[in-house]
Amino acid sequence: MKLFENPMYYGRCLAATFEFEEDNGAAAGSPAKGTTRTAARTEANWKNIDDSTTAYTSNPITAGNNSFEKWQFGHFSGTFNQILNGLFAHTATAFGTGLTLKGTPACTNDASRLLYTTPSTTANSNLSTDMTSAISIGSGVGVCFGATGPEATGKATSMTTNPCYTNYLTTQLQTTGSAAAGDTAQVTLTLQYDEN
Amino acid sequence: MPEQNQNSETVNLTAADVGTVDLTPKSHPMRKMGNKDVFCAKCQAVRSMHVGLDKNNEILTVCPDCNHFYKFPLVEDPAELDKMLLDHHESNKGQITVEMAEAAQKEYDDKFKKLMGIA
Repeated sequence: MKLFENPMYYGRCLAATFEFEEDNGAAAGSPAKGTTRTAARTEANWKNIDDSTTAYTSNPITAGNNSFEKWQFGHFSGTFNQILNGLFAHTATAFGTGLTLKGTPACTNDASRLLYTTPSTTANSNLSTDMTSAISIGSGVGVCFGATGPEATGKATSMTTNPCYTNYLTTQLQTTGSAAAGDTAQVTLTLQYDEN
Repeated sequence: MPEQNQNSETVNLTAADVGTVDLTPKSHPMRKMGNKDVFCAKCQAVRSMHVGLDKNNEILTVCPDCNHFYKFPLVEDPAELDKMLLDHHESNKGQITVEMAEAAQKEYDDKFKKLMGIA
């Protein structure tokens, strides 16, 4: 957590603490969430196994198949008044031939939040956003925020609850037989938000 | 020698118990889709694309202009595919690629420099 002092206004600005987290395993509970929740994720490797620990080299995706979905989300804590204006997009580095990245649809209110389903390698029709091309973050999909967890009801475009969570920022890498063997390019997915 | 009894029972199968099994291969309705109008997120335009099934029996379609492909899970009713294609269109229209954003910024900068007489 960083502390900034602004002498012009004799006030103090404290920053929110952020980390990505990931759900894995069978859908459990109501609203559904993953059986396993892992905090402090720093990468998202699309692979042929549903976990956050196995090296992607041990479970590669066979060309023509799809990865298991990645059910990641943002977690805010620390000090803030409000989190708002969330956007999510693939913002840097192009994918090669035969690769398509699908992602969560825009979340504009509680009803449009993506609901957790057990990860699988079947093409997920709920992931309607094509995230293959790197786009301007301004044209990314909208993200909502809420209390308790990404699965919980009550998501809204701004949130004062602390801690707070985004909706699920789910992605799935899909391939055709023309996908090249070996590692894909390392791409950047960005979650942009404002805090005050 | 001990006495041995032999028993037997019979079951009568009448015509009403015999069904027929149709082993004629059925073609999945999605194999007859042909071409459909699909929104290409990369081209940001609707293209006529061939819709077929891949080796995993998932619906696969490829943009003839940019070769970008789209996969959808297999559905029984073509109307379900139409609904997925509509959702796909709505979710992806208006995407501004990094290249498009950079080109727009360059055009703006060029105009600004020209106005300022520093082009």
